[in-house]
Amino acid sequence: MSQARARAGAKPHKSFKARLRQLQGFIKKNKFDPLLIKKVDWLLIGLVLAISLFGVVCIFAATGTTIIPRPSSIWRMIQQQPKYHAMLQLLWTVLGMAVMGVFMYFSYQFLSTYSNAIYWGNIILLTVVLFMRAGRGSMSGWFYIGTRTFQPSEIAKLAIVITLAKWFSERKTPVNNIRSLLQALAYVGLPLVLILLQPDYGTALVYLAIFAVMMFLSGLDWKLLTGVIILAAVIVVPLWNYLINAEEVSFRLTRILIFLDPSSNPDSARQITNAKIAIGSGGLWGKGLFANGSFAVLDYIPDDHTDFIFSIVGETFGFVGAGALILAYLIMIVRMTAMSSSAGDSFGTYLTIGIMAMMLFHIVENVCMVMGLLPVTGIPLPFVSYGGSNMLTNYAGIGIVMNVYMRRFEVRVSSSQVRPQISI
Amino acid sequence: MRPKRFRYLIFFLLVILVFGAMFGQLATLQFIDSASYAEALTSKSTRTISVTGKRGTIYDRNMTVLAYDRESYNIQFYRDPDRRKAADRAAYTQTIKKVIEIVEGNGNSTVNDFWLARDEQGNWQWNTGGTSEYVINKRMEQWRANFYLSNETKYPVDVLFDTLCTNYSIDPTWDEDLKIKILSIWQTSRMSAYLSTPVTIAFDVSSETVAEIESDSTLEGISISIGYERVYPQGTAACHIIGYVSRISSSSALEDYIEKGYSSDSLVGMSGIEASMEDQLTASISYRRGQKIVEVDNMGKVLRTLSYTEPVDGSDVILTIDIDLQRVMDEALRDQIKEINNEQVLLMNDRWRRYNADTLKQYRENGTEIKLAETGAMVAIDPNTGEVLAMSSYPNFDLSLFSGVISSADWNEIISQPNNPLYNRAVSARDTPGSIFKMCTSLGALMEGVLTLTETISDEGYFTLTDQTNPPKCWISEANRYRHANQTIVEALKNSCNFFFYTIGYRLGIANLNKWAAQLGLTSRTGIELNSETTSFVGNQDKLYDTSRDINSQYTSKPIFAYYTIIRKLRSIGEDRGIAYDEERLAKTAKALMDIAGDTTISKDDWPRHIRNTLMDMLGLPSGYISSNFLANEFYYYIQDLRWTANETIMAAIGQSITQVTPVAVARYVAAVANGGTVYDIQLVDKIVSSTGSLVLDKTPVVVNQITGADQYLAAIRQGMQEVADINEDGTAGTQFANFKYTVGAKTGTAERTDLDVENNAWLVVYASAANPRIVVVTYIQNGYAGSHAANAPKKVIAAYLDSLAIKENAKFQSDNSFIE
Repeated sequence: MSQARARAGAKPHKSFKARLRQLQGFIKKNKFDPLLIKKVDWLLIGLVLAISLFGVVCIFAATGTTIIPRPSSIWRMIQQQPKYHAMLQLLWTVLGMAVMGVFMYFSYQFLSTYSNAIYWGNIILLTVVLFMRAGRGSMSGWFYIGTRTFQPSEIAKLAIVITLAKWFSERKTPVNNIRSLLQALAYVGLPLVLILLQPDYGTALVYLAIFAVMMFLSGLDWKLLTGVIILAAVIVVPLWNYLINAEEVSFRLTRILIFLDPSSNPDSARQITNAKIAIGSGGLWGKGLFANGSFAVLDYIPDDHTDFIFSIVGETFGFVGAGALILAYLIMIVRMTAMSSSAGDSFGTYLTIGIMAMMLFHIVENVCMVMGLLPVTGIPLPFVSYGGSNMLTNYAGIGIVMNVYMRRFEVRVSSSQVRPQISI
Repeated sequence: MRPKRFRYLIFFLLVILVFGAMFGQLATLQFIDSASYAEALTSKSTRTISVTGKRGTIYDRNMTVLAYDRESYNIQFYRDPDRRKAADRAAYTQTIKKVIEIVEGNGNSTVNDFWLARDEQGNWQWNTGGTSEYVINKRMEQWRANFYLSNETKYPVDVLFDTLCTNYSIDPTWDEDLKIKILSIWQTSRMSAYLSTPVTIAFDVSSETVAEIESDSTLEGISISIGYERVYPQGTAACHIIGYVSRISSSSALEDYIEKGYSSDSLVGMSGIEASMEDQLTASISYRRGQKIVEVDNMGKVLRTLSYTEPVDGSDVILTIDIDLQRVMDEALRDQIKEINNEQVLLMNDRWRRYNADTLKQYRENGTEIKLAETGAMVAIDPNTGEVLAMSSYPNFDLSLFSGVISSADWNEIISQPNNPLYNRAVSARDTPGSIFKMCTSLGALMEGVLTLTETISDEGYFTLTDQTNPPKCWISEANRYRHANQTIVEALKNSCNFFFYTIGYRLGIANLNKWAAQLGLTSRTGIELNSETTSFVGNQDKLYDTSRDINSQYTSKPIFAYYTIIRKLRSIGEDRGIAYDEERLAKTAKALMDIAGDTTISKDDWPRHIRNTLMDMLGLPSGYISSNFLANEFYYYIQDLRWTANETIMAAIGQSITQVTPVAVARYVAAVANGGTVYDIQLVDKIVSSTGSLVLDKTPVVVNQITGADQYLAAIRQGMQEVADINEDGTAGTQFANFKYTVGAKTGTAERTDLDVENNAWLVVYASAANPRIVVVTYIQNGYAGSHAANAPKKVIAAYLDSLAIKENAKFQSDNSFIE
């Protein structure tokens, strides 16, 4: 920030004034009308906030430890438990709310105007991060800022939603021929390849999910849809065989292999087996916080405060808690889908659909992988898993959805209804 | 282009489908499979394991190991509490049988302490090993409860064994020995079932056993643990000093220990240094214990360690004794006792029997046996520090039998021996000192000014000043009395002339005698680091009968003897008068009568009046009844032994009367005479070093009392002692120390016990060398006939010690001089 100020100071005064005027003009144009507050969907905001706070409690439970002798009261127990991760998650929630506010403030038409810039900016970010040092699972997916990390693929998810929304909103007809399908694939393919190069298969899958949901809702030709499914099968099977025979088996592939045969790699399979044991032992009401011998305090499940948090939810709060969480997610998804159809313009509709699809995929994939229904990928549970990047992305997404929703009555035909100039 | 409504519909359906699948899986996991998952989870629970380090090592002054902890492998058995079906028990029994076979095949043994045993008739009886009725009952009750056989009418003692054999699927064709062994292990497991922790079923097994057990994966519930085993490598040497460890036996002690952090199977010091230095040596005390929080499965198998705090080993204790000298002393004492015993047997010839015919007749009538020398003790200390160099008590026991856990056969063997080998006579035995007390009387008389160094006193035969009717006299025969004429203090000590010491004792008085005994450390504990030390005392009114003490806790047996005589008499008075006095009233009256003797303000002339008043007041006896039955006279006679008399004083002056001293206290007293008046605390512990090597305690000599202004008097006393051992001066032990390579100071003591001279206690105190005292040796032999006969043992100890000292100092001298060359 100080660098920016220094640079601004070094530039001629006149230029700075001109910039200021430009910004003032923009703000005037996209002014936040306080009346819009009335049109905000409080149900969605309330749901998201409730889930986030529930998540904080779950992280507290997951990062708990065995204290011997057992404190006499739950209050003592809470005092003695480590609170680092829970407090940080609470901070991320508060920051997330602020980010949501920022994304609600300026009209989403702004995103439409700059969608091209967002697309290319995203490409640059994803390219640069490939040269960063490798982190977990030999992935080059992080920027390092001090002791904290920042994952550009999180922002890339939003970027892909925005740019795809723009692409779909400008189409006059649904995708009904191979040429336009290939166009769309090319458009989403460039960032996808960069993500795969990291390699972050989880996020790549999110991209594909967003793309698929948008494509499907936009009215993709049934014949094409069937064709794509068959093609996918044809491509995936040989690729699968190649990966299995490849000498360097990545940990993600291992996870998929374990899913198919838990006994093949007992050490890693333990993560899924133990997650299932944890959920199963929760029963109807769960064991409560910091129960003796629970997996939550035993740290028996790796990543139980991030990707595998749902196992702790199931163990600690039982069917009642975990079921309520899934129900809350269902309401959230249904509500967002409904909101997409009431958007003022098709760009807004696709924006909402994209963000809904992103969250839907996260929820389904995460919950199902923890319960052993889907292979394990590094996909966090929205608003519950520990982690700042994902939290902020999700809140930004909700901010965009809300932005579209509260401006549903002020449809303005944007001047930027120009097909994006892309070259492959 | 807007999305199609129809597509939304399909999308909704898909979402509902997916979420439905999620709910379905969640419900399946948490309801249908919940029980099995919950079980899978309980199989992974945490357990806190207390980790105990090594008990400290005990060393002698040259760092020779006297007791240490050795790592040992134990076999443990854990019975899964959830597996209680008959088939499970049968499987466990098979496992146990297999383990017994493996263990015994390698020459080790499993725990074998079954609480049922066949008596001579072959009937099953309880054999719980309890010492008291209460403990035995408690054990029987717990045993029945733990085996679910509490119904005593349904399961009388004779069917218990067969019932257990059936319950635990023990094959009737098996050897009964094997059956008992198997049931012993089941008993060990059942008796600690409430702890739900593995129990040790075989201690200190060989590595071959470990290998076999470990390689057999079918042995369910069997595991190997590493523990420590106490080892005593020195045999009988210093057995009383080192002491031994054992499991906590009494329930009250167990509570105290558990409060300190011990576990119920901890080993604790039971005697000797092991007991007195328990807090230093033990690794079981809470602040030395480590803790391991582990995750275990339902088989009790440790899956992983969650946290671990390392235990701290106990501190090492370094003693002042020299184990080589100790061995010399042990042997010397044993030989000395045997030698005297042989002498006594030879002495008791026809002439002796004729001479003692009256007493022997009495002995025969009472069935009393003549006691000959069988027990004794020796103490050697450094007179300049108070450090114990060696200390023996005879009979002793083989401490190596206590390595690990002593077998009950060995234990019973030890405790069934005559003369209690476990008893440390050097610190616990208290006996009449006899003439070795005379140095104390001498110093008192000289310091109090009732005797000068030049004054001479002649033996005049009977000493009539205190008792005209039956006056005492010196031991010397009438014909030889001329030898005791015109004696100075030096000569009197050399002659051990009783007449001389009666005289100065009479002049000194009992209060001064006690005062100087106290100054010389004879009336207090020596401070030796052994819990079993008893306190020596010198006779006076309070020691004879202390009115403020309970009848049962007096110093001597005289009060309790008088008490029962009086009670008997009072009861007969009641019978005579047809009155049944209640016990409390009789007890109070008896005490009141005895207190007349105990109250020194009442002169003996007034006793009849006091006795009469007491009987009238407390029992309501009429005055006429008392006088017509001569009751005042009778009770006067009963209580007169409880009043200290001048005659008792002169007897105390020669070390008789009721005075009783321990060998260790005598050693300190003689050391004070030898070193010029410094009374040290006796110390057995030299240093205590923690497991990290830091010095916890470095004991320096503790001066309890410094007698000043006594130099010339002590010099005269030492001169007397030196002449005792001088053949040219015809000292009482002159012949015994003739031709001995070191000149010594000595004093014999022959304490009379009975009318038979062979039953006298023998004392001999020696310091050496006379010019430069480096060692004090006290020899005490119960029924040892005469002090002078016990000279061989101290001579061997002194020679061994001073020789080794000379070698050491010579070596030091040479190494110092090698510089110059």
